[in-house]
Amino acid sequence: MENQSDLIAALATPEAVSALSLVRLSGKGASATVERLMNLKPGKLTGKKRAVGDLAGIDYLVAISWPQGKSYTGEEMVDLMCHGSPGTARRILEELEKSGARMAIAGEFTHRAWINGKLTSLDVLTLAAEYKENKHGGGRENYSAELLEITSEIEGLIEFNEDHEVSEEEKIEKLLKELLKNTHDLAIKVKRAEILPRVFIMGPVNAGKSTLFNKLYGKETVVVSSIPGTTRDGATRIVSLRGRNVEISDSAGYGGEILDGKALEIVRGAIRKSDRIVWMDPDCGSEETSVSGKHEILCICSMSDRKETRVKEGWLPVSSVTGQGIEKVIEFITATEKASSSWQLERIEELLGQAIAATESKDIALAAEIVKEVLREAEEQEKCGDAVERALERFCVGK
Amino acid sequence: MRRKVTEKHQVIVIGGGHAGVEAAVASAELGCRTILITPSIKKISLMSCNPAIGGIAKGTLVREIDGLGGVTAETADKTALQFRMLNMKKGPAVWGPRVQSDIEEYCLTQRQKLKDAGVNLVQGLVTKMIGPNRRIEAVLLSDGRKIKGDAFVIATGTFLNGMLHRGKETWPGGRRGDISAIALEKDIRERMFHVKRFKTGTSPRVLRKSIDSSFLEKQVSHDLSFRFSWATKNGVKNRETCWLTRTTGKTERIVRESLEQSPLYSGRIRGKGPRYCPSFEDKVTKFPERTGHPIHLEPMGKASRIMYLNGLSTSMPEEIQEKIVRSLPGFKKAVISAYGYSVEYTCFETGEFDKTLKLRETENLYVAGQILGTSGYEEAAATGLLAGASAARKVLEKKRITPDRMSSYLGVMVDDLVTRGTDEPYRLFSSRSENRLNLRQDNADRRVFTLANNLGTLCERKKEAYVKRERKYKQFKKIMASKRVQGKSVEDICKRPEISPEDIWEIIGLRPKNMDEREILSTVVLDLKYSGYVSRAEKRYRVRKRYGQVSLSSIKNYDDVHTITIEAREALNRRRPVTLSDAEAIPAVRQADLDALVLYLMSRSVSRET
Repeated sequence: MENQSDLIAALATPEAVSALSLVRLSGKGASATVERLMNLKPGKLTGKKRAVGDLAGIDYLVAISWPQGKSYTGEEMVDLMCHGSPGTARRILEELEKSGARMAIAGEFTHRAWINGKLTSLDVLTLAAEYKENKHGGGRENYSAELLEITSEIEGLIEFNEDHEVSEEEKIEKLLKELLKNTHDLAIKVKRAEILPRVFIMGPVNAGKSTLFNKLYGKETVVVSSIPGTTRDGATRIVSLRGRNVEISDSAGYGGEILDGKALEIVRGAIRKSDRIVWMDPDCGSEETSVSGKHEILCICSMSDRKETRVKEGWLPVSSVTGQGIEKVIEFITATEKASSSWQLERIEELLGQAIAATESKDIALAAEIVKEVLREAEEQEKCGDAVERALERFCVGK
Repeated sequence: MRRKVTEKHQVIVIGGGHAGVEAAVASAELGCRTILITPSIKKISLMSCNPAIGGIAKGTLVREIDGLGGVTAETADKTALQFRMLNMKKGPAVWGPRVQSDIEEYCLTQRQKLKDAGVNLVQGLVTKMIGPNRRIEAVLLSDGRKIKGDAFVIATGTFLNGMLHRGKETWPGGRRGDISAIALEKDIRERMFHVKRFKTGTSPRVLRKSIDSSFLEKQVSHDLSFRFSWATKNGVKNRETCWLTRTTGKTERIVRESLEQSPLYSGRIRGKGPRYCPSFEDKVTKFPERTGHPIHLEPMGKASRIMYLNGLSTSMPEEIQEKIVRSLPGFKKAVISAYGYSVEYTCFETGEFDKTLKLRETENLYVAGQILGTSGYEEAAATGLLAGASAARKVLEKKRITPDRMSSYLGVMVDDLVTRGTDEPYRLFSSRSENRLNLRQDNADRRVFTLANNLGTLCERKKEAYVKRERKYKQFKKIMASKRVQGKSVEDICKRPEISPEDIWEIIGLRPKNMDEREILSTVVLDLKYSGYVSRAEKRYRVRKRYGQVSLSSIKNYDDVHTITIEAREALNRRRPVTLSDAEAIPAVRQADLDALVLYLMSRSVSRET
């Protein structure tokens, strides 16, 4: 998605027979392209306009244009409402492709909206959550706007003392409480939408991978859920470690006795750039050479409680029996990503609780400061691009 | 007096308002032979608008002025009629001390302060400056006198080509009953300084005996022991009563029906007015659904026969003003003693002056008060003090000192005016500071002490008193650091929102013996309470300051920077900020955009090197 403004097109409605289908076109020259194809006067679809007519002899349809800055994506955009047959839509798309448009990939429209500041990261995450639940559109949270409203209420209350009635503090308290509730709901939604940071536990057979996995999974962790329907059945768990949600995979689940070439291929394909690897081997031997060097790897020398174990330099001695090194492993795992959105939202919930306490104690100035910290946290959220990029993978083409 | 002026003075202050007085006193404290020129010595420090000093953020600024050696705080204490602490229920960081003042006593006291400081007073109207822009040599008065000086401070308030408006009437004047400095403004324009026109307004005054107070709500004074100045021995006394009334639907209707008669709405006034201290016409137009706007009745002095109607600033014709006033409850037979009006005046454009308040193009010409684009007595006084001290330091060849925005409202204001600019009269708000929990009224002296010391504006007597208070502060702080209650340190207990300074004294068994101790003890607790927020704010500020060193001049077109939002691109192309910190001040530019700009600049500098 390097070139942000090239022309992209996609069918935004399901590919099925229905009354109407919607073909969406976004990017530089969207209006001009449709004007040409519909034989319209240049400028007929510049700005927020509407045109009805024939498109390249395929269909008699309605075109609605949106100017830059005012559309869903924030770019120049045209929606084509054609008759709802998959064939018609396909032919229109072919025509658009001939005119220079590229077929969009899943989530690309939303990605552009995000890049252009039309949607915040939270909006995207929420949209992804709703999408996953097959709830299309509607109910878009506007988190920052809500926060800003509270901030302006508070500032007004502080600065324009004489124009206010005494009861105004209660209003702020109410707004804060509402926001706390919304944040809580949002945290739950985001938690569902988020694709979590992942850690792979790898190494030769009998290295103690499953023991470590169970140790992390069992004693020190809370199981949030297992991922149903993955090919890595039973070997992947979402665990909450030190308040962070992390997806941990035990590579034993991939089969192989020793991690052979083929199994490795599969694992490699499943590993993303941002994933971390815990490589374990009591002999500090085979090492991680077979795994790409792009990933952050923690090499651990397992079974450190055994006498014959010799720890090689740079390797972390770990024993699931004595517990040696386990803390360090958890540290590595939880440092996987700067912060996950749901974790930050929990921090926001905590701050909002403090802001309410400050309001109740009649220290509105302090509450204001805390709300500003919340705003900064929310701004952090806007920057957490990785989570958004991954959430976007869940969209269909045309959204 | 005429004989005295033949000698050459070091600092010449033009204007005898709140800015001029502080400028002259500060310059004299630094040891410069100082002269103050005003059209009317009797009207030095005359309050042209409401008879009160202080308010939210403004009251804190008055205490900063005291910490910097200024006179406004002491005068406000001495001439106070009634004291109120605004925002008592909003947290100690935004408490706003405010007093009603006896305006006659105020003038007298300020004049005495000037005399005590050794400032020479000259009555006259400055018509022209002599010498090239780079170095002004003297000023010419309308009676032909020429006064030479080494440095000059212009503090003319609304007098620079002041035009007064009421209904269809327009006449020149700096204030009702005063002349307008028309020639001086012409000289400034001819010297090619960039200027703009601002406007402000004032309310009608009524005869006290013509009001039926049984319809009014009494405004109680607060019985706290308080004083602005640390040099004032006793708390402010309450000697007068204020009253509150509210506009009725009828009031708004009268205004709405006569809007075309207001010079504000007939297009006669083009100058920009303050959004935050609006005319009543503005209030009615901008909030059409609201009625019951509060109107405060404030006496102009002890047992004064005249009351000021705070909140009813208007420039409607006289007959409409009468109708408006008489629509208020209790005002059926009200007699207006002076009608409200608007005043339009010339002030300097942003960018013309630096943070010492010197006009950039000159070497010895300083500006203060409303001609910087500010509004309010307190803002004027504080900038006056800085301009006066800067001018004196220039004459004495001392290095330039500027306030910083983390430790004082003065710093916030100067930084805002110089780097951000203002397109309406600038009023101080607590929210203009990013370090509000630290910019409190109780610790103003501690915050500005370093600045005062560097400027050299604090007299020995005040300095000694400060050192004594500071010793106490450290002593109390030590006691608190040593105590533990139920396994918790007192410092941690302070941080809980529901804990007040009084609770802490109770816990550790410390009882303040007097007003000073009470205040110092509060400061110790509040400093601890907010320390986390304050240090975070200061850290953020340091980071942002580094942005100031990153130049954006190499970016010709922000459309080339694909990683920032379209909104930010548009704003940046329009505003063309010089550095990253200027970019940061633009609302449309968000943190993520700043990071993206840094990355963009870095990648470009790398690719150019290779």
